[in-house]
Amino acid sequence: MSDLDGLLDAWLHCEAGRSADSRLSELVDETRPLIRRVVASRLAGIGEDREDVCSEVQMELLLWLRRMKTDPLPVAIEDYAAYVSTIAANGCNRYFRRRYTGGASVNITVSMSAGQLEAVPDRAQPVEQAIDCRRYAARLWEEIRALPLKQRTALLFHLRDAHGNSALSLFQLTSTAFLPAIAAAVGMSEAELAGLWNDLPLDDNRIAALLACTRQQVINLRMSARKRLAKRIPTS
Amino acid sequence: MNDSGHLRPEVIFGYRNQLLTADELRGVDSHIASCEVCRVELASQMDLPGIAAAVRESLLAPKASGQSWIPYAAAAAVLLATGTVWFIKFRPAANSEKAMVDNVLRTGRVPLPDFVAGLLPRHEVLMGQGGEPSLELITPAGTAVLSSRPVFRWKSLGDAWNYSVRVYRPGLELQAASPAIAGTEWTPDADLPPGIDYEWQVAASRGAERVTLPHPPQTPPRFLVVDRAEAERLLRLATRPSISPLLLAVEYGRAGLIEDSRREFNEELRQHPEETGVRRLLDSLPVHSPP
Repeated sequence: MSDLDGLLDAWLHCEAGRSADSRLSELVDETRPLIRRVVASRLAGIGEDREDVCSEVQMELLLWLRRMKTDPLPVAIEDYAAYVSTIAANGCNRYFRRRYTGGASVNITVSMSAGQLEAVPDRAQPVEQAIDCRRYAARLWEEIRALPLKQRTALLFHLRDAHGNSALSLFQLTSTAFLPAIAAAVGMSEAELAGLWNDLPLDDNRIAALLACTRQQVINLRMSARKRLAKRIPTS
Repeated sequence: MNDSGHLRPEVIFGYRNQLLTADELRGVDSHIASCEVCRVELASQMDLPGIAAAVRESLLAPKASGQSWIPYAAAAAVLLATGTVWFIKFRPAANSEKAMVDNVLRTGRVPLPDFVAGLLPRHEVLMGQGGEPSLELITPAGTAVLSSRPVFRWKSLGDAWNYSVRVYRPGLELQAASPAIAGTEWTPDADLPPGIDYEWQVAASRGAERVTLPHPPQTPPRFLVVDRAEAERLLRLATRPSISPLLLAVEYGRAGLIEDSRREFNEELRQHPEETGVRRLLDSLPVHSPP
């Protein structure tokens, strides 16, 4: 067993509490050089975003490590270094996808050790922008709910931001609608919607399968929804 | 949740990147329905105005054919010109420093000048093969410097070694060289021309032994001497009586003085250890040497 495997084992089997935090912190600290090597290798020639990608990988690793603790994997990790390398490689792929789909560089740097993870966020969007987003989201949601079910579904499951990610978070982040309300709007249970959330936005074939119609019908449904929304919300 | 009852950073990251399990997602959804602090944090990290703008754009009615972009371009040009004149005439100065620091804290990242990337080791590869940063030559490395006579420092190789520093301009043109010295630091006795990025090496000798630092495959550290106007501006700022280390750290970072910026961030943290935003900024600075 390597040192890293030993540290992972210690983290997975320690009691919750301060000592667990310090074991997690140690594990993450010891993993950092490996992450840096993998990211440096994958991003060779791209120096400017390397630190940010490393921080993102570290965040994802923390997510997985905490998840392992609360919800142990059915199969034990035999080679922690290989596991980390895979997460790092995925992080680099995500970075390249963002880069190639027109996304700017990574826009946050959250480089914290596990021991520093108790931060209380305290920053705010400029007030005017926040009010504008909230007002727009509320108006949009009101109009979306007035659409027929299939049009709503075709529209919402396809809604995306400039980077191609799902834009449904617009409604959550503006306190307009949360999972139960969004699920009801697309005729699903909350659990069903949560189960496919990571796949959003869906492609038209998948939406067609959900709505039991053809891909062309999905396109037509969405077009009708857009026309109605454009008419009802002229400034949108 | 963390001890304060808020979402942990890695959970926020998971939400942003659609990596949460269904149960985790439902937990976040339920939490942000009642916790404005976390909802605002997520909105900030996910660029909520950007999402709203993209949705607006995607829901616009299809444009009529033949619609010209010229009126829009003309209007944009007028707005841009008007805005530029306004900015030049009425540029607000009093609160600009605070606004700048607030903005940097909000983004979690000091906006570094482009040249900094060129000062960092150029080719890092796996397994320690080639292009690694120097471990023996300590400073200046991967940073801009204020002084045109920076202090060069390196690690000792042991007793009885003598060292000679060589500073090269781009193209390996020798700019300055020290005499043989027994210590581990040297200050040039003439100014290095500003606005230029340099590389430096140390030739060490003990009897017949000769060693050049850094050892291959490490690459010689690079640094840049900032131009005089910028150096004077920063020196005036640094000597202001009530200057905060945080503002100075951000200004140094914006000028590419990574080592100075790091020092000031550490000073700010020494005075206010609870400032996690400052810790994030410190951690966001590029590291020249491997951990």
